Amino acid sequence: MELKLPPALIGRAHLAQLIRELEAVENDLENQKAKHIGQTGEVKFHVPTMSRALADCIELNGVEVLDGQQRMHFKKSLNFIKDRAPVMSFTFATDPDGESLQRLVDWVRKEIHPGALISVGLQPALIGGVYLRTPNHVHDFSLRTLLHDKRSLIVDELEAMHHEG
Amino acid sequence: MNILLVAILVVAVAMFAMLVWLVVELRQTRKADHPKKSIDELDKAYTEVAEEDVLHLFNKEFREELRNRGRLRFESVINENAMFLKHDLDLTVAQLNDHIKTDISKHLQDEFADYAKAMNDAQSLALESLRKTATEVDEQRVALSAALKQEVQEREAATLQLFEDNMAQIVEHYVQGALGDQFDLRTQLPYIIEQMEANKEAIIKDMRL
Repeated sequence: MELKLPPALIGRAHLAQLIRELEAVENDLENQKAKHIGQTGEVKFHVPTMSRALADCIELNGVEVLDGQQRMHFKKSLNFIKDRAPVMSFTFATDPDGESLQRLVDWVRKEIHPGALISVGLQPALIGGVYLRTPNHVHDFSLRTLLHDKRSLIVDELEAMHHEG
Repeated sequence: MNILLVAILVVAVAMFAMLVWLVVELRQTRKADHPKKSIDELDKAYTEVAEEDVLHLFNKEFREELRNRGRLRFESVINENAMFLKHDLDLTVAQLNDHIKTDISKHLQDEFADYAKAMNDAQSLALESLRKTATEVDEQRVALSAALKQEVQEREAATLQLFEDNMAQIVEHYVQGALGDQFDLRTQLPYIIEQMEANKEAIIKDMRL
């Protein structure tokens, strides 16, 4: 089963938290099931309150929460992704807001890898842009590097101004 | 003093001449009056006559006349000699003046020539020295100019190099300070996505490994 991750689920920590929350849901449902052992007739299970990330993920993947088999499979998939999914490490110059981060994650999963996880770092010296580390490479899209690479442009402009003056 | 000595000599000569003349006259007179005698006799006779008449010959009038003649002669000789002396003296003075004038002129001309030569030499030396100094100053000016130019170029290059080395840092600081927190991720997101889009293939390839 190809698991789809919601944009709100960003990194491995989120995924671990999601798994823990799913386990809590499972425990809750098991407790409810235990309470209704011996009862005849149709037993109605109460779906415990879940976080939006978990709810979105469940909804996105069409998982029936009350179905233990699907829950187990879903949890297994989440654990698999947590352990094996490729992680892209983004380092920004400013603290990223949630909306922007979700847009970025959405783009990454749409264009790069659907199961990619993201870790976020902060480095003000980058000025702007992003410092991206993939499993085997580093892509420096920071404004600092851009300025450094374009230094000759400023020098040329200054020299041109000097000659004009 | 010399004039007086000359006058005495002239008087003495005059008196001796007169004496000789009288002796000659007397011998002619006696030769005419007496027959020819032997030489010894004649000599003896003459000696005797002279001894007898010597006092008659040089009497007072004669001596006075001789004195006057001597005085006149003496004055004449003195005047003549004085005239000669004056002439010689004038000639000598004139020659001396000419000689002195010529010598002084020559000496002055030589001195002037030496002076002019020395002045020319000094002027040449001064000109040469000035020319040499001017040449040295010009050479030093050229060398200094070249050194200054090189120094300026080196400083300019060093400053430019320093500026280039630190420019990125300066611009980063400036941009960072100017943008601050206002340059949030929402603003940067199009640029980030554009960059990732440009490197998408490489990222995908890396993520699939």
